Amino acid sequence: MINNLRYLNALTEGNSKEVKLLYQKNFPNVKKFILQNKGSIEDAEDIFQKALLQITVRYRKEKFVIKSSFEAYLYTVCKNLWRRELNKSKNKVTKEYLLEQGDESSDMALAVLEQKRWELFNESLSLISENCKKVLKMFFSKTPYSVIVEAMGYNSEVVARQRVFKCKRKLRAIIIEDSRYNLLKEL
Amino acid sequence: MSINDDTLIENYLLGKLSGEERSLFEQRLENDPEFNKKFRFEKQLFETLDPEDWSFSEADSSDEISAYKKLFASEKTKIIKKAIGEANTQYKRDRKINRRNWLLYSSAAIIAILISVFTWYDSGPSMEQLYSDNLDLEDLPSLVTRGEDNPEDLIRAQQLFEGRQYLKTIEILNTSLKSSKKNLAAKYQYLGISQMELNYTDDAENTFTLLIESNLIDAQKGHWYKALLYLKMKDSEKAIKTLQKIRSEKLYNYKKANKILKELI
Repeated sequence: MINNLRYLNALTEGNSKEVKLLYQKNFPNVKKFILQNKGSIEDAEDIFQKALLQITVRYRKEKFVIKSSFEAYLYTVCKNLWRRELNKSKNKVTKEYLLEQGDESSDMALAVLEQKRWELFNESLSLISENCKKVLKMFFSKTPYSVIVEAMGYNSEVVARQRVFKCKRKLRAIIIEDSRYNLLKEL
Repeated sequence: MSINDDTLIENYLLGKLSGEERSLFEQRLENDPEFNKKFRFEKQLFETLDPEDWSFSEADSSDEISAYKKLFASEKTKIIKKAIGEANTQYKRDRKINRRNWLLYSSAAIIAILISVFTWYDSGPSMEQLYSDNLDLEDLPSLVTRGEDNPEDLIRAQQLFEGRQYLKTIEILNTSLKSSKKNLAAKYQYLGISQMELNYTDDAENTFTLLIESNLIDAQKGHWYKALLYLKMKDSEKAIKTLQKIRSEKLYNYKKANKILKELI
């Protein structure tokens, strides 16, 4: 993870030469993802810049540790920012809020905290049993109970519902116990 | 939370409630802070863990939001943003140059291909030439060795071969191969070359394959003769492939193979 620090420092120092390396290594994949998901090259450039900025500012504020490789993390942030962008039209509250605020800094501030929530929830999901993880992933992807019953070999939808209920309870407990949750629950 | 409330929230989030149920639900959200809290958490779970969705912040303000907002608006962040923008511009410029170079290289490559294609067209004689230039009969081992059952036959075959009487050579060698496996590699070479010279290409190819598969010291020579056979057949693809194999595996005559390849490609 030495590279992670190297990139984080390059970003905080505004070292464009090093940042260019990040572009060379990571931008093609991000571009590919965004082009495959209803976006344009301009969108890809915008998202990539925002992701780098988000990571930099967050690092300046909290010196957070990137647990994966920098590349993998950057890709995740880009994917999430794009997901956020695609869902913006659905989200009235944010839209109104942004219209009121009318500036990019607020949007970026919200995006970084939403990213933190995403990380907490996903990390928590990875801590529960394999079986629960599987059921919940299907459940949250809006898989119908009838399909879950079949995939998991349950006897009935009632059993599936109970299983989902129990797994969600476990997940909730893990999230709430995490110290990060206190800062995020008002979000 | 009871499983009933859980199902209710789920149905609300999935839009499965009727109009009336919906308004009842929303009333409860307003009047029951505890239920509201549960609902909000559930909604966050739903939106965050659905790969298609995103969980937006519903808070108007918090210390954390303000702190981040200030940071994003700061001068330092502007400088960083500029550096990122600069990196993006440089990256795009490099890509453009690379693309231009690539175009240059690819057009050069196309020209090279065209030249070689046109060269192939009149390469008939030159491949034939390469074949005859490289078929070195002086290099062959002697057919006759001690302890052979019928040395007279082999002496005869050797003479016939040197006198380019290939048909007769083939006849004697085929008979000899049936009766004795001695000096096998040499027999295969004489036989294969005779067949090749007479343009019995299938037989020749077959004989050289037998040589390759014989596991004898001279087995690797089979590749070399096969390459010559393909040159004679003007099968450039197979010739090149075989020659490249000889070159990369440093088989018999790999230096010569390299030379031929240079002429061919």
